[in-house]
Amino acid sequence: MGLENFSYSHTIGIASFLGRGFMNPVDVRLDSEGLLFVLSRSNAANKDVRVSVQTLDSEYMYEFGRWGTDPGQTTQPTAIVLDGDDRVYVPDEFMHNVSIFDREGKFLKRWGEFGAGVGQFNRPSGIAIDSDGNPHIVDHLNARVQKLSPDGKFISSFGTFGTEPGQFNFPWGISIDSEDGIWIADWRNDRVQRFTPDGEFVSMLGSSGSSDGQFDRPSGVHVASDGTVFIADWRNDRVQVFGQDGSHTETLIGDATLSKWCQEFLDVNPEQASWRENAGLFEQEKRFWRPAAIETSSDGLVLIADSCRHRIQIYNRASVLAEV
Amino acid sequence: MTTVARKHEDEAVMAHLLRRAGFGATRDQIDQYVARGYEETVEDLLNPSHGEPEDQDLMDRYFIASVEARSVGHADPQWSWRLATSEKPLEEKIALFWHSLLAVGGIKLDHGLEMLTEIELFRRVGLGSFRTILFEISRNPGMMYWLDNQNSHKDAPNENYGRELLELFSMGIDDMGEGDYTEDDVKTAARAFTGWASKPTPPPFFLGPFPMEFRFDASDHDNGEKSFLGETGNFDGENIIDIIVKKRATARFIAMRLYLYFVSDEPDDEEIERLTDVFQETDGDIRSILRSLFNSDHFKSAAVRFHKVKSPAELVFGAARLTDRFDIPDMDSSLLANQSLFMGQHLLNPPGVEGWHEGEEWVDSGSLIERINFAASELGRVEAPGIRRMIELVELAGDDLQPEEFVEACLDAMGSIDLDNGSKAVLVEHAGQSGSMGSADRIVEMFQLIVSTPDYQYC
Amino acid sequence: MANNSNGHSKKNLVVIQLSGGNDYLNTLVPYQDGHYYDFRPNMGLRGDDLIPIDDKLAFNSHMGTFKSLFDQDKMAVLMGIGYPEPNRSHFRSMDIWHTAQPTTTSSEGWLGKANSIIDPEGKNPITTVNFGRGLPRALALQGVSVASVGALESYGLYTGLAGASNKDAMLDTISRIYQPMADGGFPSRRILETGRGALDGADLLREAPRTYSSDVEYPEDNPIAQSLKGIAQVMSAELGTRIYYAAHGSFDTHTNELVNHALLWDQLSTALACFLDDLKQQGKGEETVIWMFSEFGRRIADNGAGTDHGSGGAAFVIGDSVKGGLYGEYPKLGLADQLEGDVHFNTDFRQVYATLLEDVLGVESEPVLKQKFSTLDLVRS
Repeated sequence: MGLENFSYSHTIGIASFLGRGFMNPVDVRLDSEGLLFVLSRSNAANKDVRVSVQTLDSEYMYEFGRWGTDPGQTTQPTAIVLDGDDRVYVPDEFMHNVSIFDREGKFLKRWGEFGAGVGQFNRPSGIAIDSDGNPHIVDHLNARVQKLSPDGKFISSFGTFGTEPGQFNFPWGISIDSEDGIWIADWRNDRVQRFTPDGEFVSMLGSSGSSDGQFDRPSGVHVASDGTVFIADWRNDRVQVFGQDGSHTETLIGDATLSKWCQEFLDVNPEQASWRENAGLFEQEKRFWRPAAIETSSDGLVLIADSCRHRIQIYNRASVLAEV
Repeated sequence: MTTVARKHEDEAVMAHLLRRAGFGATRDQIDQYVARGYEETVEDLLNPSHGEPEDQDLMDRYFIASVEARSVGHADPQWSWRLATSEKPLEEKIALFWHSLLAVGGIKLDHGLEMLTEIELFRRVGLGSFRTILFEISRNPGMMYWLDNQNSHKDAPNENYGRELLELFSMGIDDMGEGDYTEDDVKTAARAFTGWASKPTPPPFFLGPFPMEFRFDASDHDNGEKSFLGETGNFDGENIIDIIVKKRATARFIAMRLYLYFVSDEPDDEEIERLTDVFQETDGDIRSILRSLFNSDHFKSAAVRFHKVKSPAELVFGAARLTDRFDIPDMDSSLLANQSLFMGQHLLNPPGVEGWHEGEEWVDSGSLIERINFAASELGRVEAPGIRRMIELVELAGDDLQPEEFVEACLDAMGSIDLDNGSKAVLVEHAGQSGSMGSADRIVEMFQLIVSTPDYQYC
Repeated sequence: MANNSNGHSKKNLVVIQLSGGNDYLNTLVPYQDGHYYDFRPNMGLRGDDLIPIDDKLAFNSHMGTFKSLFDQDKMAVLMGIGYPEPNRSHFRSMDIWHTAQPTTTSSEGWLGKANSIIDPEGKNPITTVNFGRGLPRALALQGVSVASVGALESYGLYTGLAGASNKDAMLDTISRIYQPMADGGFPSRRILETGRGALDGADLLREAPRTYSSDVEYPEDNPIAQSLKGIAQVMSAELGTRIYYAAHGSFDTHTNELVNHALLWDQLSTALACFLDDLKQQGKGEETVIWMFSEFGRRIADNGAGTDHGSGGAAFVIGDSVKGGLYGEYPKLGLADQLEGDVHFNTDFRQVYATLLEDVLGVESEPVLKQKFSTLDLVRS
């Protein structure tokens, strides 16, 4: 399948339970200087969760937020986002709170507790920050989105459980566009909904299925600065791309090559390398397996957290942006 | 029998059926099943609608590492959830049966995803024809790898699969180690299965695991003429299975294993012969055999009730299901399989091709402490809806119960279970000493004592 | 070579399992071998990271206790231990070490079998005590009871049970129910006896810390030190326990190896120093032998951040009655001498098992290992 508006760039990652590499990465963000922050969800029982930081050239730097329930630890983290000061926010659906770290991973504070009241959460999932620095948190079992102030005070919330427009059914990811419009991956309704900054329903995209423009449990949504909408169509193992007008423009199914770290692994493990050659599943190796979240950079990179293949696949659409 | 006694007996038999064909039932469920009728309930159990459960997406979301389960440990949350919540208990129970009889060990295979695929295979075909079950497991890539059929070649057949197919999966051997087949039959079976293997997959260490697939390599298959169990032809594996499933030894072996699993740890020759006949009359239809088994007077008789030691999985999921606390997958549900491991049954990782030895061997002093502590802690979950309901049922039984009535009310609330008179007498004495029997604390205490008895180790 | 002992040895065996695959080359470092540094550009240890024991080999600097044990001739270092056709899966390889069956799968643990020979009628439910939850397959054998202990103080029935305000009365009631009766009947005599044994064994184990006294202070935040303290407590109580088991890890150092490997050996080195000191105080030094192994070693070449699964390794036998020294040969590291990127083994681990069975536990080894292995001259009788 040829790509019209994208070229594949490269892949970062290797399955690893600590340090260099990822374990079920479910979210990916770039900081203000272009460092790559990746959230490894893992399997809570295996305790491999963490946020790890690396360059786009696969230089591993450090990690934080490892497994546990103490301040500075995470148990079942769902998403990450960085604010204008590069502070890192990590919602946790086991502890029902949001932990905040500085860029170096030093724990600063955490907000929230279990419940359905204001400032309380029942399995928080996606998180995004608006142009005023207010975090918006998908409080998914409460079927609502909560808007907090930069210091964590409750401001407002919207949403109820259901299948009608404006209602949510196990929502997951969130994105806030350049006009502070709010986009929610309404996961179990197989759609993405768009709201005004005040939480008024605007429109929705998608229905259940596997054709273009249909979804099977979309987990992540990301609106790029030019208005292009990326949706992680989780159980269809693909990422769909939509224009500003909501028209489907492209589908990505994964084009991964061996990452630098994987290549290094195979170099020192010739037996594994020949095992891989013998299997010859090179096409299958490229494909997404449950892509969970998307990030874009101002210079045209599109980064996709390929959650069950333990890697970030990176595309480039600089040429398209240049035309615009 | 009086009406009350009749009702009590109906409930006790229904509770027995649900302990054997499932993981037990709550008091309220038993009432519903009794209202539906015994044979109707048997039919419902035997005919589950197969398919992906509605909450599979939730399981995958909250335990994303289990979607690509690299190891048994990563796969655990999936089966734990199904065992704890399935409303098709016999589907899980029969999967557990085949998981031990057609055992593939997770340790050697080291591929959690494939282990889950295999359990799904057992759910899908486990109540159907034995021929289909054997055929599917013989084309199961995990099984082919586990029993070395990968290394079985036209020029050098590996006998492992051929041997276990006959000895452990179908015809069986007697106490003297003799079967109704010869070493030559083993060798022939091995030849017939040459070329049956799994496709190679990349190692899981850098991108995680890849699903395994069966592969038939015609160029590595022995096409020569073969003599097997008195028949001659150009047999392949499928023909071998066709011959095996017609043998009475196979019918008897499967009937015996079903009897030991569903009825009693002590084989009853007459009943096993009867089930063997049913196997042969129905071409090995497992559903028909189980229908006949569950509907028999022998199965319903008090003589076999509580005469089977609970496996760790039966104990763990039986106690956990009483609490009725699993709305949505969470850390708690994901760790249930660990409890079974602590008691000596590592699900998705049977100790060898012989599966687990059932019966009293389950209970040693270490595992007994684990069994009692786990069950007592489950029954102590006073916030759980199932436990709250049980307390309520005991409270509804009356305000000033005599100690004996109190113990009976607790046993009834826990799903019409019973104890031997010796154990019961000690508990009645305990109830008499502890005062204010009606309080929730005392009720829970009695539940905890009940699950600590030797009697509760049986189902 | 030791002669075949005939069940006279009555020493205790303490097994410390190094889970995850310990990096042999960074444990006992061939610091004069250029190949080592060629293959370990990132993970090679030098200078202060080493404690040389001769002009070829050095311990990792985080193994101070091992160096002093070596100097006192109380530690046998088995170099290049392994088995033919090594398996590099954690699960399978650990299984092979646990069952001593490299070519077939087996559900019978080698120490489970030893237990069944030491106590054939299962009279003592605490002949083997495992520190940790869940039984390592090494100890598993159907019909053999093993106490698996998290913490001794809280071992037994209803420990940590929420809301059980009436626990003593409950325990008393349960104790009265588990009374074996003469007739067959139901529940079976076997289950009742098992329950009786479990209750009695738990009482004994829980009591052990109360009768134990020692000046040794095991660090609280060191899990293997706490396990070894528990072992010392059970030993001091003289309960007839012969086999003790504890695990330490994880040594699966694919990444961050320099930091994590050092931490693990620091913990173990400290814990071992405490334990040996304690054994001396308890008067158990001469009768206790420690066996330390890992399921495999790691690749000769590093991967930039750590090392991947390999084969061949180092193991240790430690104790006052052990004949210290280096055993076997340090494997050669040159490309031509490698086995698919790993070191070749030169000592079959089952030879050590045979030695531990015969010269420590006093059990004939052949029925356990299903094969006759020559023993090594490691332990003084």
